[in-house]
Amino acid sequence: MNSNTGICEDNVILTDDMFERIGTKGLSSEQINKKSLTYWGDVWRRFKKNKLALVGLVLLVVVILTIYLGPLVSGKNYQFMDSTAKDLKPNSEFWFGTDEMGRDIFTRVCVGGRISIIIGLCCTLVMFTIGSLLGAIAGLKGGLIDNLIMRICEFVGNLPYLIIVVILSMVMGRSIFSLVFAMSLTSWVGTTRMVRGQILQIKEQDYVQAAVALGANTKRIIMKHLLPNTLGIIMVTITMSVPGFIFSEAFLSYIGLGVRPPETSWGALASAGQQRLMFYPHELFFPCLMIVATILAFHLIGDGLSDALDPKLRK
Amino acid sequence: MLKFIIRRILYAIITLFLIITATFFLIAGAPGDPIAAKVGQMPEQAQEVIRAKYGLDKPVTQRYVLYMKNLLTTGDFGESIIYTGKSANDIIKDNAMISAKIGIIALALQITIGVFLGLVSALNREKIGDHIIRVCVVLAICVPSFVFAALLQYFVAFKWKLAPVFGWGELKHYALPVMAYAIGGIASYTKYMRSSTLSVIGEDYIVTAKSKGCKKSRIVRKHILRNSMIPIVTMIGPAVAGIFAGSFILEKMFSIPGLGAYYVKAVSDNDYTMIIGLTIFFAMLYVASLIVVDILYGVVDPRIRIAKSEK
Repeated sequence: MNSNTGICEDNVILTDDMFERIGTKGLSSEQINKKSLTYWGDVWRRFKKNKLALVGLVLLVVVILTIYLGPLVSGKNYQFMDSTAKDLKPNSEFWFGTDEMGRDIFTRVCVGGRISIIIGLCCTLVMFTIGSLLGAIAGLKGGLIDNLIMRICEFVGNLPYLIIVVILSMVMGRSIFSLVFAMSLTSWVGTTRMVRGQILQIKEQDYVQAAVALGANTKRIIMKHLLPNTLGIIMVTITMSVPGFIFSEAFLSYIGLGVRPPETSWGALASAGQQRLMFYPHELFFPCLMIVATILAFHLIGDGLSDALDPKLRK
Repeated sequence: MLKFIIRRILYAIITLFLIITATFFLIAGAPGDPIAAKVGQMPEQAQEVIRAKYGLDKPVTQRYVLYMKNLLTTGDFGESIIYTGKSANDIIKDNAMISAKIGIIALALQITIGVFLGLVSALNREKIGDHIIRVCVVLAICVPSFVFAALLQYFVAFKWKLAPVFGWGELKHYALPVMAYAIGGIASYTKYMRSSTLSVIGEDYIVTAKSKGCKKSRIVRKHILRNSMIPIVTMIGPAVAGIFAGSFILEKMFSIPGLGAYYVKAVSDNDYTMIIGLTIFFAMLYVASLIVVDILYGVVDPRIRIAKSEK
């Protein structure tokens, strides 16, 4: 306080016109030329620098374009059986060959891929919604509710995942809905724990305390501080869990609990191909190739995202 | 610590009870007749006799009480519907070891190779060896085990004739299933071990050991390896339980008469007693191994042991 009052000692009142700005007028360095970088802009900038992650992104776009546009280009129906063209090797007419009923494998792989990817995305969506909601409630409310949610997590986490999935899809019949239901039933536990942990951690951070002290209401704190800061880690989990669900779907279809014919999926196609592996290896190869490409793409994107989102890796 | 273990076991018992109950009623409500495949074209009366033999003529709740009573007093899972004269207990007794053998060999391979590769990769960070290992890990994680199994069957067994395609009984039959089983696990253990080692390397106690003139081999053995193994221990629990569950596909593909293969078959045959019996068996293993891991975790990491006992 003393240093401030020092200037006014001789009862001189300081006004604006007593001061003049010198030396800064028209200086270009004072101008803000670049738009300020948002959080996601920054993430995207760092993500772009990661070549492997970009390869993953391109691979994913190629896979998705193929499975949606492929059947249009090939002009075939995935259920059409051509009895004169059974078990053909890949050729100019049937790009991936045909199966034992004379169906075009390329078109089947495309149509099956749609189902596989949709199942993967739906499961992830359900997992993410339930997981982050419960995790956020547990982290924010604390106390009894937190305790209750964590006990439920402990219980569900104790269930053997695969057995539950097998039994549920057996009981509910074979449909896409029952698959999604069974697979996402136990999957949200990890997300809940993670989001809760994040929220508990962020809640104690100085900037949130500062926002509270400045009078920000709960809604603003959630929207401005908690959500953006947890979203990053959630995004990484999402990209990493889609391939997990595609895996599980393939597995279930493989043991005959997945989608029901005439609908098909990559797992079902691989299962059909495996039985004829010794003589017609292409019937297994192409569905597997698509599964591997998709999973690889998601992995690379996920790795790139987690690098881009981690401030510790910033150079 | 003791309080913690007791609490964990209590939870486990409740979980098991709920799993058994839920499975029982869910299966009872499932579509399809369990004895349809068995009785076939038998006359009505014969069908009734068989139905009564399995207690299927009684209402569900009565069956449940009876089942629980048998299970708790004698540990009896009941007679299989498809395999006449054999109880689910017999089948578990006869075949669990087959699954266990493959699983344990594969798990041992996974952990030793995975930990070793992860350590090598982390210690040579950003060098050529690290890059090669990381590329292999990403590729191996992206390939489902059944694709690996198929590739092995096609190339190693069918084209090059180095091993039998499928079958069971002799030592040579182990090679392919164990390889197909282990490879995905090796990749994920390597991945986790690498990142865990990298986080340990930067810790102060490593720097301290170095500045005190500790030999590199000693630092790796005594400081890095011990501490970076902690997250690996948590992964072992579910993996032990997964020995049975994870073998569903591979046992089917390689025609190995293990429990996984029986489970898949029981599901497609609607064999009630087998499904419930095996489910309980798998669930027990799973829950038990989770408890063991929780306890192990405390043993490996003194920080957790102290935190828990203070609680």
